[in-house]
Amino acid sequence: MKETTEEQLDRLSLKQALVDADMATARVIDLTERLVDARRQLVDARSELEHLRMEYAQYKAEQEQMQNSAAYRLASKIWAVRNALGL
Amino acid sequence: MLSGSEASWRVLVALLVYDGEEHVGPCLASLAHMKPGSHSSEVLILDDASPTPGSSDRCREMTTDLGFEYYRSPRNLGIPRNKNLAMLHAVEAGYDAVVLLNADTQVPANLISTLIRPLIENPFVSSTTAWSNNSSVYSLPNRDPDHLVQVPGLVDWLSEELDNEFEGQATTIPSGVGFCMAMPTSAIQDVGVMDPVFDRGSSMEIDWCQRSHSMGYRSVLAPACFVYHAGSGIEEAEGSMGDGERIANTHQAIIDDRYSQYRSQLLTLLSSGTIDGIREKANGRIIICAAREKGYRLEVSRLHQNADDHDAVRFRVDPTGGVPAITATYEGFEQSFAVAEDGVLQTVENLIGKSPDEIRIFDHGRFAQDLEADAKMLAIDRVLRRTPYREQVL
Repeated sequence: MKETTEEQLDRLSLKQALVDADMATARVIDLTERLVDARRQLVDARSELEHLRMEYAQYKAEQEQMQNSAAYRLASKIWAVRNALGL
Repeated sequence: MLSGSEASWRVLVALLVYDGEEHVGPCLASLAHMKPGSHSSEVLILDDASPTPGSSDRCREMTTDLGFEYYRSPRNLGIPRNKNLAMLHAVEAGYDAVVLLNADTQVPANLISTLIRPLIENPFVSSTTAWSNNSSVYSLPNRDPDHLVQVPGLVDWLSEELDNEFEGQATTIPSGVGFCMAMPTSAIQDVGVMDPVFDRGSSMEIDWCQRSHSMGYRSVLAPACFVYHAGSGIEEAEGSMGDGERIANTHQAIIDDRYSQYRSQLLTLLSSGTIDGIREKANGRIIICAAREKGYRLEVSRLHQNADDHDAVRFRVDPTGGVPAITATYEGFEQSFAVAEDGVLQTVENLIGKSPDEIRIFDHGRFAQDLEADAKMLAIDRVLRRTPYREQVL
């Protein structure tokens, strides 16, 4: 029996809906995998950033401590005198 | 499938409907008087489960009265899936091409021949988009577009004149525009259907066309075909079902990611002057042909008086000659022409090939004096002077 246009469109619509559903599922899985991967990278990057911040704070504290020492202050004065005398 | 001017294609016109009853009736009426010429066409209405009570029943009734096919989806599919249904049906039912048409349009009698011609002439064209008052960046602007469909036969006349001007001309564009786009089924078989990720949006055609370009096809604008497009129809209605702006931005981001060259292609085309050149030719053709057929009026005025007087073909010039150009208008279309050395009257007469029906002089100035003198010399007695005081306050 010849298929009517309505029957043909029903069939095409259903067939395409199944394809779209399969594609949507595959896309969700793919996007989820990439999202998980991106989140992992983000966590790693944040952790590394935090680590570097702590390291930076530590170095900064050490530098300040050094600049406040008597030896550093004396060396700075000698350097200023040298510059003033043009040596 | 034949090729060239001998070809006779079987074309499916798929009208995508989602409510918008005020547009559907006039659109169906325009489809009913299409003259496909050597081609054959069938119209299929795809009602995407219009939600307004009774809307689908009325649509079905109007459709079947005109002998068109009607199909209502059991549930709302969204724009890309509804378009896909049309494309898949066209492929399976053995059509040579499908025209995807929004319901907020009114088509000319020569729709099929003008839109299909570029597809027949070049098998590497994957889509043709109609020229319109509202066709994204490719529009032929009009001051009062809704008036175009209030004048019986005007859309047909415009499209005939543009067909005479442009014949089979096809201008390559980075993407078709979905309100009225024709695609050969052979390209659909190669490229596939619209990506449903662009649901509730309007970037699906960009994606489809760009996908086709990556396979060696190109998309073209057919300036020989003029379709009226209200531009507030199906996409806006279905788009408004979600968070429209956020969705549009997301779709744009997908396009930018997939086709980084798309924006630059668009900017290159727009800055090349190609589209402006087509617009200029189109407006010139419309105004000159209307003036030849209906007669015209020459006005010397600083102000655009009686701007709603669309039916008359008007050539307007600044009385002082401060702006050495003639601005011509007809049915909301506008085009400027440079004034030649032999004066305003001679310039217009050379363009149109006959004298004006009437000259209206609203204010004084060099051009006004020259025109009066020329009219006197040529014994044109239809000169109306209206200068009780200055036109402009300052």
